[in-house]
Amino acid sequence: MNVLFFAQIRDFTGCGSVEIETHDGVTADAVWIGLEQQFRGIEKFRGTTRLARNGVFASADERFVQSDEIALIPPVSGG
Amino acid sequence: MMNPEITVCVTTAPISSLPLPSRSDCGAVLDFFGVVRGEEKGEQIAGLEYEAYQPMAERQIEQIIRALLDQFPCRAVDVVHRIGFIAVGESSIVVRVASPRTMIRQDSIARQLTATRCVALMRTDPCESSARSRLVSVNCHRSVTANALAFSPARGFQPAQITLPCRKS
Repeated sequence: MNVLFFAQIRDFTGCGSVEIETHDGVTADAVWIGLEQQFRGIEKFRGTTRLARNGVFASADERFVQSDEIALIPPVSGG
Repeated sequence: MMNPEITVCVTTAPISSLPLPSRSDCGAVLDFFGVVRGEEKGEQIAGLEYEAYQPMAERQIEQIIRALLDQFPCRAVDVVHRIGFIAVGESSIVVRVASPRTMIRQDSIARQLTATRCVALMRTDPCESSARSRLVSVNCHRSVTANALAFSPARGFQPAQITLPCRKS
């Protein structure tokens, strides 16, 4: 799945997006584990970051599929 | 009143270069510009950086507008929000509110819209971003300047001063 980064998370990763390999039906936990494998320390943003799936905020028990676009919406936001 | 038309655009282009829709059925049009201000609490800023998860931001802005239209009906609302680096004095947002005749409370839509946080639009405070160190030592607040001009066929253009909060926190 394609994961998008913004603001301070993009500064942390040094890129605007990344492709991670997951299985269909995974939870947010698996998404964060996949991200942590590529960007050690990104887990620190988890408590203040919301996941959006295909343009809509994901619920706590959301299940994701490989074709999803996931956006990590950081805490400092609001235009 | 007919179903209102809503257009929302998030763009990297300078707002001044974008044509806004004009409508022949609307005789009262109010344009609101949110402008990056160069000073906040005595400190200077060079500008602000905005970024967006664009499809989500546009959808959120439209949802905010639709909710406001229940309170403040009008014919059309057009919003352009600029992203990228926006220098002091340049507009980050323009809101055009159009009605067939009355101007009553048209400014309320612009005021409420710009005061409501759109979470898919992200404003980078330059002093918090090491990657944007060229802006360090400047302050990092967006100020909202209300440069509103209300037009009606009967009275022509009328300056309208609107006081806006920066944003909800």
